[in-house]
Amino acid sequence: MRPVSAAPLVVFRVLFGGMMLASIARFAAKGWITELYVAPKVFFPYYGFEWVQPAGAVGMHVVFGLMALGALGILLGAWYRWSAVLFFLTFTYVELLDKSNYLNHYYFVSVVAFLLIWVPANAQFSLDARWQPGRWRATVPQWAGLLLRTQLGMVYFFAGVAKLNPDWLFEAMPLRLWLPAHTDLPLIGWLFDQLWVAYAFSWFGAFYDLTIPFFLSARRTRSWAYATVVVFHVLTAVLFQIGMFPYIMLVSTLLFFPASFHEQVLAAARRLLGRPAVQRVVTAARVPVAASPWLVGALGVWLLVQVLVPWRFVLYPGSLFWTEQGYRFSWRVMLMEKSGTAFFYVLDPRTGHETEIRNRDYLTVTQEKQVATQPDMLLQFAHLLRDDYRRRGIPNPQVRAEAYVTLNGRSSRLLINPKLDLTQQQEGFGAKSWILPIGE
Amino acid sequence: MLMPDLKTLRLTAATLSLALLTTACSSSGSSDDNAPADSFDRAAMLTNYSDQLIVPGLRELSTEAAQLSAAVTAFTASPSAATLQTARTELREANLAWQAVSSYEFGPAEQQMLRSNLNVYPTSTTQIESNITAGTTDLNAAANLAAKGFPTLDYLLHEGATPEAVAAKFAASAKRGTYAKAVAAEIKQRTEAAYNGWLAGGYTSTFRQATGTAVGSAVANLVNQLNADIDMTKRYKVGIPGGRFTAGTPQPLKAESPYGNLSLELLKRNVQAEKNLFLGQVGTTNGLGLDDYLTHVNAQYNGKPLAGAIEQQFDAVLTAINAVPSPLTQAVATQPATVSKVYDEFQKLIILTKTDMPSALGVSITYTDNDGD
Repeated sequence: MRPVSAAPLVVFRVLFGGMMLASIARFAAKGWITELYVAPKVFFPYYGFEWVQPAGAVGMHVVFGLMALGALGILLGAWYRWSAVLFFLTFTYVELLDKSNYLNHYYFVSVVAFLLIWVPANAQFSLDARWQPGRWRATVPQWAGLLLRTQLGMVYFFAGVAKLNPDWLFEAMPLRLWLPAHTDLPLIGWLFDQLWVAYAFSWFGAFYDLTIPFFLSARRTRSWAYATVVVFHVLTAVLFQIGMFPYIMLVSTLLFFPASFHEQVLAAARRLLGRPAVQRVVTAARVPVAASPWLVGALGVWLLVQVLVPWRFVLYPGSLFWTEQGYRFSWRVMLMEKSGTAFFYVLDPRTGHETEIRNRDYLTVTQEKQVATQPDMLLQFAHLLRDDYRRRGIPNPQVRAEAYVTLNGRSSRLLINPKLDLTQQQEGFGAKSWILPIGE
Repeated sequence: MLMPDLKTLRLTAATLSLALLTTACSSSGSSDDNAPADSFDRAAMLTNYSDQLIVPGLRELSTEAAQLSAAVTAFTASPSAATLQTARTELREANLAWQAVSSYEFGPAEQQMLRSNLNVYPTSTTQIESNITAGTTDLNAAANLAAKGFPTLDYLLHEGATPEAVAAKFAASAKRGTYAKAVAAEIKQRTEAAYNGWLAGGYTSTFRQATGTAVGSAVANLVNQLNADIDMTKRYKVGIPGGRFTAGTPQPLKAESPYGNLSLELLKRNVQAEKNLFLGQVGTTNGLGLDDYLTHVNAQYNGKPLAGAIEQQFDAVLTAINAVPSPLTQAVATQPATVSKVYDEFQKLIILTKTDMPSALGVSITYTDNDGD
């Protein structure tokens, strides 16, 4: 592959590092480190990652401090690769602690941070290049930018594919439930009470997600495409509580702009900092050699996995939205209005007496909400209850759950078999036969 | 410099202004202040809640609390069966007035933490007696949450074989009277503060302007606090005394107001108030409420209007309560099936109000902001 200008990668590195630093500051300022990772009594780790445990009040704040250091290192291009490793590890560790907090955009950050470890985004405009001028590069291998653009394009494309379902296209669900809440917005508020607007948003959203990577890639359509990116994400930021996500995407999509644009950005930034660009002689020796076949092969496997993971749901029976088997890590964004109420019961088999559980004695509000609608979390909580009642002196407690769930406007109904003793069920990648059908 | 950037900026600005212009032009047909006829008037609903339900309810509560405080003062000044009877009557009325507004725990009521400061039960008789013996008590201390409020007055004014016996205890100990007066005074002070907080220029305008359905909006507050209240009614007024959380063993003394035997009356008033909140109803006047909002968004439950299903379920709860023989403290042991029935109807109600209703209205069942996606 031929070498290309390093500028797009460098600009992305700076913006991503800055965004992450701001996100961490916001997270800390809102008190979420304590609220989400110190205060809860129990946590819901991912299957296979049960060994990932929280580090306590001091430890968690240290972790977030290290994460901020990593983000700062990425921003400044200081000890860049180590900074990227540090940021990736700390961020991913935090995400693995509790699936109650799963968000696609957190997963996206983990993925990008991982990719940043492997690309030479510190080639310019970095402390690394300043401290060791020999590390300055005018160009980087083409695969580096291509890799990030492909990953980003997949986020949109799969988000679009996920919208190709009957609820979204033919019922305008869940937008028809969410939009009427915004009728009080100035000027455009009245629109949100109109059903056709929900349909228009749904169809435009699907079309937008499916096509935007291609429109952004083509020179002729790029400017218009970016304008719609801005409007789309600003609108979602106004309408929905989605935190930093729109801004991260606004910044990331700049990757699709040509090198000349990014070189101008860097030139402007250098002028702003009072550091006129140094005329550098680019010798042949400084043009990076082709990537090792191992690296290219590994990245190829990475992309293949990224393409396949969103399709794993076809291996499970039943409605994906209802069972959520194979739902996560697939860029399924804002597709469901799903909520539930779950009652848990613990039975002492020696007496036959059953006690109802007060969920909030164990769970935070967020956890209780997530547990009620997701079968794997219902099972996890049932096992937590089993362990707790064993500690209290009941040798073989039986745990069952009545979970009533509503999905995209359907009447609430039982999600799982309410009579089943959940202590007898094990978590795994197999299909959960005890999930009841969604019915229609 | 930055040619592509400027071009993009211009395009973005053009697109945004075009979008705004289009909507501005097309909305100029309807006047700015009046919502189109086919859209739900959330502002009118919020006005109905603040002006017809919340403010009058809090006024009633603070008036009753003042009368309670006066009656307790009169009783402790000269303890007798007659003055005790007046105090008991005022306690019942103030407690009933509280049941009518316990769902509105946001804004001034939340600041005063009325639920925690007025009505934590079962009350701790040992804590109360040791406070009385000590003579000096800081009622604001967290340790005293179960030693004040209505449940404490229920104990102080009702625990005893006869009215004369209760009055005699007060006659024998001035400290007992002092404590009862302090408890009644705190109820009066906090309910007054909550009521005043809603008055003109205060929280009423904040409430009406908190439109939308996001966390912190008036609709989200109403829905979430209604559900919190139903949850507490179900659990503390019925479930715990009925033994649902203790493997079926009834806990009669954990009922609300077990000494004055007001449990069922308070429960009924509370559920009626929750139903009124849902309907936006005062007496027989049915104003705009959550039920109308559900009807507006055409929320369905098994092929029928969700609003009707919820109203029916409220009635099913009330019917089940009427079938429980008074007092509740005995019914949990002698007629457990009737109490169980109330609880089961509550379970059905809360599924509808906590799952189907917020979902249909796009209201988030969380109390904190979060990064959604």
